Amino acid sequence: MNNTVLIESYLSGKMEPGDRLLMDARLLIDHGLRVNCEHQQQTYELVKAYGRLCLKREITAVQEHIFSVGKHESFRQKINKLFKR
Amino acid sequence: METETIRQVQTREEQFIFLYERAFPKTAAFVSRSGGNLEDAKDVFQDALILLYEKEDPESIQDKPSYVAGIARHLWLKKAGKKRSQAEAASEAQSELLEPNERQVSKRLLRYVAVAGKKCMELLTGVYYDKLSMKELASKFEFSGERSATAQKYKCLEKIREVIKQRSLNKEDFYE
Repeated sequence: MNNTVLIESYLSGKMEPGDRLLMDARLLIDHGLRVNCEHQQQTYELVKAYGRLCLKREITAVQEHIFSVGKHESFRQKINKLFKR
Repeated sequence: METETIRQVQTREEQFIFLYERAFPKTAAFVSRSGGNLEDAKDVFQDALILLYEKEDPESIQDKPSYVAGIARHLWLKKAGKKRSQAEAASEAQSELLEPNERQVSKRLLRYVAVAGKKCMELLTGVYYDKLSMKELASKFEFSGERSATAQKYKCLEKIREVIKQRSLNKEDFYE
């Protein structure tokens, strides 16, 4: 776990300059650490993509709700009017 | 409504409904005037909501409906391939929309981890995408406390990192 915490600190840019230099040096000589670092970076990217996907689903559900439930009828009419040509 | 945070799950839906009611008519009118259809308006508005959510501190925005309508307008102009004037170029929006360093995430890998590591992906999304505090995370996932939530966060990071490591041996996942 220490390795994961260390890599997180390094990738987030929150590491102290001295520790960062040391980490840069370790990454040059430690292949395993370098691989973990790359994969941890990919993990963050993947989590962001997953989060965005879930949020998009949530927004789509809200949109469908607004455009289908009677409560928002006047809103829907107002919008539909804008696209009547 | 404005004082509630958009990152709180229980109020997120209400906030989105509020933003649709207040800002979507402006977006729809603009898109319609410039030759777009309702689906175009819905698409750019969705993306604008996502950008608002991903902003570092969405609660710092005083007038969220105007902000979202502004972003949606910008996105539509970009989508429609129209040249926007300097006055329309909100520099804040511009910097957020450009993410040159963001790599394209493999959809296949995403589908795989969404199933194989569902629980961990949900937890990590809470931390890194929804930006929940450890206290909020502990409460949401029913951990005994912040220390337990933090430990679980790192366990999950390791788990997903390991999945990626294994899958990286299958190059197709990374070069779709």
